[in-house]
Amino acid sequence: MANTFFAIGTFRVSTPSVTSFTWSSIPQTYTNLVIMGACAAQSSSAGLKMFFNGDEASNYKYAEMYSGTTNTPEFQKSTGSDFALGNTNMDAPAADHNLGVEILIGNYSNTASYKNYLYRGNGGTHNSTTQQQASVGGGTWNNTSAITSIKIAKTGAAYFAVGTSFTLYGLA
Amino acid sequence: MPTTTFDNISTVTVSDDTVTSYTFSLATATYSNFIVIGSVAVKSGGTEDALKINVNSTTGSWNQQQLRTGGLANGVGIPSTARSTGLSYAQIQYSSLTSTSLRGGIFRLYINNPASAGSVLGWSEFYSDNTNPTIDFTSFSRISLTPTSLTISGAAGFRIGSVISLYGVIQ
Repeated sequence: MANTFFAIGTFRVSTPSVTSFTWSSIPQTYTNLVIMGACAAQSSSAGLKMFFNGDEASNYKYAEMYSGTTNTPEFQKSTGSDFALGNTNMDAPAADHNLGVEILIGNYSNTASYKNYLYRGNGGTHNSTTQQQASVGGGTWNNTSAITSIKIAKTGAAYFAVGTSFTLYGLA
Repeated sequence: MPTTTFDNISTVTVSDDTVTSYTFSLATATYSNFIVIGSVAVKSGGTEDALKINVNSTTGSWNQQQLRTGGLANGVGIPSTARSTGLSYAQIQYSSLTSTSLRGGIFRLYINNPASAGSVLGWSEFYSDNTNPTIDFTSFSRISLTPTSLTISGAAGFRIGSVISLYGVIQ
């Protein structure tokens, strides 16, 4: 039986001028998609956002559990939000403040139902005092279209730090 | 260097919404760990229910603990936990799926090295979408059993187009 975990595409930041990544023309031949990333902001801290098929309107919702900045576990849910990855926050600079993130997108090619995803983020760092956040969440894109493109972007005005990388995998 | 292989053992795409359970063989001689990924919804006109898990086509005494969001509208609150013992089935929370919408849920279920342990130990994550989206994180156990099959049931039936995949990890 063949291995069924395939790399579709990887983005790596080599210069601090990147604010988003987009995988386009995603093959419709897999069952699920997985995104794995390690990232940081080039200057001030920021959050991650995700959009499908170029839809940046308020057609997303999510729920998550995350560690708060006061060492208190919290949960958050949001409906009608375009902030699809909740509190997966990253800090700056890259050398000390990487965020690891994994996103599972299920049944992405079907056209019969809305699209759901799970995500985990081990945000923060060994020496940040404000952005040490672990998050576990999930969300929905309220659209029945097959997902053909995925954009990962950051909040705020700064860029992704050099060394940031994201890979999209197809899971047969 | 040892190789690790991640195989799709079986994928079910629901084409008959009157079917309420799907059973997968667990080839423990070949794979040491199993992952099930499902994108599911209750069938059109169906009633909300929990996804039920069992092994070897038998009910048994399951214990589980759950950490979950839920119960509030938009905003920030405190996660809730729940502990259950002596359940006939392990359950992945399924309560938020609606019978008339296009919404559903996604789950990821892990069963780790069941043959070696002589028991069933696993955990799952589940996200469901309705007007109050919910994320669940659940661990469950059933002792003194070597599983050879895994059954996932939804009493109401699954929406056509739902997909459940069983993956195996060779180590």
